[in-house]
Amino acid sequence: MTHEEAQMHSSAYVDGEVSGLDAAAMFGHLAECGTCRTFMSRVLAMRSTLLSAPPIPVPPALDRRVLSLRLPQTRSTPVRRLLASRIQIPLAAAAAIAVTLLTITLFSVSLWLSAPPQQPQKQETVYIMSLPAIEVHAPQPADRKPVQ
Amino acid sequence: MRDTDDQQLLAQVRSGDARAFAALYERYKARLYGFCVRLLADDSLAQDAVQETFLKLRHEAGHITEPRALRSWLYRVARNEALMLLRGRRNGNTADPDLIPDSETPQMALERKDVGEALRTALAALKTEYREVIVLRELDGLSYAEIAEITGDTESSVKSRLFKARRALAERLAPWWDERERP
Repeated sequence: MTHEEAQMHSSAYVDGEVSGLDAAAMFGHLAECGTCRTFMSRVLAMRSTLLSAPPIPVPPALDRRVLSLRLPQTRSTPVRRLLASRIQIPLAAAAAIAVTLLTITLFSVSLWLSAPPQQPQKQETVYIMSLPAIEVHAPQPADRKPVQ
Repeated sequence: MRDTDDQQLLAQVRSGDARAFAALYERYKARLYGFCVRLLADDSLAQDAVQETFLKLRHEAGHITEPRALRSWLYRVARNEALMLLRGRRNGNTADPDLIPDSETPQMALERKDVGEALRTALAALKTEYREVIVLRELDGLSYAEIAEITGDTESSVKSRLFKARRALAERLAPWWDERERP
């Protein structure tokens, strides 16, 4: 195993990404090579130093920028699309529709209030009676008994 | 557990739930912002990259084919945004993080005897392709498979790139160690 191979395996070993056979060969090389042992110890030292560094704080301005993004509503169903299209009526058109509906309502109310009161109509109750049909059978000749 | 939560939150984001969107942002903002700052060495551009990432999440939540891999998806988008901004900056006249060693070298930090500062300077001086794998592996703790998914490489390529990045870092920090280990 060359120094380059041993150091590449050392790099992968500290990440837990080396197979058993490669690890055995690497340790065999490290046992006899001070340069590669030094490399491995420095790789571990660099990791330790990097991990001990304080985290970089996220600026509040970024929070504001990202959280102000508006989420689009899902358009998975035709019903949702219909609802979305109803919401997107321009303000002027919506105001015109609202004024028209209000005018019609007020006009209808004023008509109803100005109309003379109507007399209640006299109601008559009619009972229809019917009788059930009765079926009458004439006696058959065989049923007749001789007159004595 | 985190993946399950991510899937649930993503499903809620798809239906337009702003609270689920905010929860995903809270969960990933520090990681993604830290990644972008280290990649770009620019606070303002890093904010732009993270904002674009969440803007894409907002628009493309319904098209994410593997909700279980949301974390990788977010990192991949953030990386692409950051690299795009980096390319734009290279075309302009502003500073390039790959040229940072000209302004401050590990030797300068060495004089202050601060290994953390020397390492940060050395990291900022690495090529972008090395810096990103170091950050993703060492600081964010992602696996080779996840890094490969984010960068579009194979796992063996990630392994090789990480080794070269670590070797480059070790070489830059060698003066600090040599000074310290000198009897």
